[in-house]
Amino acid sequence: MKYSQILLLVSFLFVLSSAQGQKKFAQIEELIPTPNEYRNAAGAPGHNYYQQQADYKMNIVIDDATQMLKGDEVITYTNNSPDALGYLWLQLDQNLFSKTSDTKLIQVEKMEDFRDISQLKRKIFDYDGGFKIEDISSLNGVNLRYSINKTMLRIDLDKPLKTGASISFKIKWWYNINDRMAVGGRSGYEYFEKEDNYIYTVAQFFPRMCVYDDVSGWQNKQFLGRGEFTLPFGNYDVSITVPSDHVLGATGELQNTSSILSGDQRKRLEQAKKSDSPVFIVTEEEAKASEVDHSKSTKTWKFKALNVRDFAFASSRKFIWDAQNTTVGGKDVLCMSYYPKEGNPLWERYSTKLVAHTVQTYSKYTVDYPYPVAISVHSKSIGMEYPMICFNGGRPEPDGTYSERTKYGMWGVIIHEVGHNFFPMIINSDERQWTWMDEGLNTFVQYLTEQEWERDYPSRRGPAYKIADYMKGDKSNISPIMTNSESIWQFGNNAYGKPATALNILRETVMGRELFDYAFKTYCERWKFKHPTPADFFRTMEDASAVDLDWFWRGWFYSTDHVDISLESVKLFQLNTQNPITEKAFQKEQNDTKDEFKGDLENKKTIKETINEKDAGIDDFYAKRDLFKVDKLDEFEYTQFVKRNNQNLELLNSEKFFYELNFKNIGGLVMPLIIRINYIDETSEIIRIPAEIWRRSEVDVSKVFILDKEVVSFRLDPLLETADTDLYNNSWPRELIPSRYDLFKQQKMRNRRDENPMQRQKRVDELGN
Amino acid sequence: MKHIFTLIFLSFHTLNFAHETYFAFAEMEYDDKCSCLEISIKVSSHDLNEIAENDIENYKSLESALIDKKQIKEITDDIILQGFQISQAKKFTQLFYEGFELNNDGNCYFFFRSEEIDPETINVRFDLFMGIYTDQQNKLIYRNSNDINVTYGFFIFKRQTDIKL
Repeated sequence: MKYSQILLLVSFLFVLSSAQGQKKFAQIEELIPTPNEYRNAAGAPGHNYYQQQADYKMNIVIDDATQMLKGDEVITYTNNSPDALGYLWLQLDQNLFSKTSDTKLIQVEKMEDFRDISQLKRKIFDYDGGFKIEDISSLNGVNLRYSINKTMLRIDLDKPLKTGASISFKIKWWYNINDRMAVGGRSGYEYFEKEDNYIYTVAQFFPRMCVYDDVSGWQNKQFLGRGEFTLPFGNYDVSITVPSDHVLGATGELQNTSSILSGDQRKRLEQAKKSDSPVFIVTEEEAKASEVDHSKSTKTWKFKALNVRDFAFASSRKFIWDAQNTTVGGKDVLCMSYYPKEGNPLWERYSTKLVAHTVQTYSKYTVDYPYPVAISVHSKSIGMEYPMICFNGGRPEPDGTYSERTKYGMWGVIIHEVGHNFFPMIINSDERQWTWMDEGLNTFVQYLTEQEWERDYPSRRGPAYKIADYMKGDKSNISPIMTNSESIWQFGNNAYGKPATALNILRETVMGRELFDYAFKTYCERWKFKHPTPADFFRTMEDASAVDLDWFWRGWFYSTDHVDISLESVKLFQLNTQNPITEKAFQKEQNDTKDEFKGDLENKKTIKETINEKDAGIDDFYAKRDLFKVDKLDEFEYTQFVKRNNQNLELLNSEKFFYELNFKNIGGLVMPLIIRINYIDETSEIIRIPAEIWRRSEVDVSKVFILDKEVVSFRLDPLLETADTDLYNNSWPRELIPSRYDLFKQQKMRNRRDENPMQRQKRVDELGN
Repeated sequence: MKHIFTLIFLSFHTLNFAHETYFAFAEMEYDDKCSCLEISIKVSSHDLNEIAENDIENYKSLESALIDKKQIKEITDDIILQGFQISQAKKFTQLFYEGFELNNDGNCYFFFRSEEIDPETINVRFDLFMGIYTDQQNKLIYRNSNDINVTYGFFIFKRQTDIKL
């Protein structure tokens, strides 16, 4: 009875320990949707995958006197789903700025937030934003029934829209363009008071079809300001009427160059299409001349864009315009920049080259850039992306100088926003649900692109060690990556930094570059011009690499655990050779070099002679024997041992060092163990142990290294590749890790108190004159 | 009962949707030699720049502000230290500005040393930028006398905490 109870207990403990070991390495099927005919188990589109189509014809007018935007549009919506649709949902993003917007209402506030007048002004700022819908009707003028729910518009159909059927309808609207510098926003205008000019960056400016798919049905989550957009692909035919002295860049290809551009400008544009460096189409001098003459006449710019998910444009008489060609997969891409003189000298020097570099590098890691143009527009303080066009900050100081920080900020934002052409404009994930799927993946490729632009580029995000501050410590107010966009704590770190870091770790540490790059490109190819979900990404990365990454997704994407693996202890063992000559000499050395008690050392000096030193009769056998002397019996026994173990002698005499290293997982995230071994002869090597070492014991593991040389130190994660948050416990023997303050004190003499170095150089030059 | 509050007259803050960081990190350690706290505060240069641009008179850039004695005082006193305050036994602890570092990766570090204080319990209020960015969240890493890092999170609902030195 007792015996069976023990057996039962042992069995129970085994089951318990197995279950615990399965927590971090358990497969993620319970967390992701079951594969189906639309999305298969390999992570690819299923055999019945479908997506909807939304085509737009629009006439848009900017009223430069009142900063109003007016438009009418014809939407043709094609239902490719297997379902009949009784109503259609459209997005009204501009209603974010309406007076009844939920965005303001749901902000948590305390009186501390009203401490200064600026904060109070912002809270009570009055701006009549939001769409004014004038008409929604069929093409033959019959009014359609519709209902507006804040940022969503529902059109009720008389008859359900059947599978394969299309419907066309008209919407007429207008709204007051927001002063972006006052009320904020991803788009709007910037006003230049001295010269009474505007730069308009116009986006999310028309009622746009929501996505209807196999995942969410209608994706009609309200736009609250953070979770960006998910939109169906379609073709756009857009006419935009602006003052005739404006220069305009937009999603798509300009259709009427002959009626819009001067002969010189057309010639320069043709020249740019053949040039691999930027060519001015509108020069700074020409832009400056336009700034003065405020034309009252108008021009209409016409654009067509095929297979895009959105449309945006920028317009101003302040714009300088340059362009160059780059070739991707045998197709020409016209890279262009639009910027005011305030952006120079940075913008004329770098913007278009950065666009070309980004298009090239992203094409290498993802899919070939498929569109005919790629545009970067200078828009103070922000970074925001749309198909083929993005709005980017990075403005020099008024004296034309700029700091390195401004330069890197400008470079980074252009690469990032141009990179968004790939995520999510082409690989069209649901931004409103999962911010990380576009921002995280994009930030990851941004890092790769930055590093190919300049060696040792100071990338803000990507390297593992840069996420450590965010991930360590108190988890009560941070969220897993797999959190809905509107509910994320810490948007930047959660949706940009952490996923970018995770992918970097996969590439450099877990999978290796070759496997990772192939799998990542496979995901991009599978889902270009489609709507992927997180599960499609997770499955494809495993399917194309034969690496089980469920533990990685579970830890990095579904939990808030952090990496803190401690090298708890190191024990050294050496084989007993059984050879008395070797072993007794070793014992003697140990005895001779052991620490001595201070009193014993003093006694040796102060006690001239002890009794047994005076009296020879005191010392007996025990006192006289030499513990470390090899006697005949030792030799005989060793001879016998050698006869019995002849085959093992080589191993026994190999003088190998056995180091047992004990590790503790403090942070919770299981990660590979990367250990640098520094030997006594000043050589070193790095040993990599896969994360699966933690599969049966998630907290404590040990590993024995059998080495030929003695070790002076071990260092865990020596190349800072796992985002370990506490480096102090990574070393044996322990190395003191200085705090930021300590480092600052050490380099205080080198404190960078210099002014903007370009300004300093100006003063140097003045002295020289 | 009606409470009266006084406004500080600073200029107008913009609010935009650029990719702000909304996070500040502080490291703090008690130094027995000076009986004081040594503190570093890391903030996003982008976030700070946007606030300074609106709050500091004649502000041009962080680079130029940080070499201008008046502007650096305004940045440290009126911005940074408004959002990082220490008190002990209900008495404010004075913090002395030691210096800064401005990095090209978008981070800016400020270094402070406190006046002499007892190694007893302190109260830390770390609500830097919370009045401007509603998503702001800050984190303090205190390295205790056993060389163990203890982390404290601060966010809009929890702006201060007690720490036993």
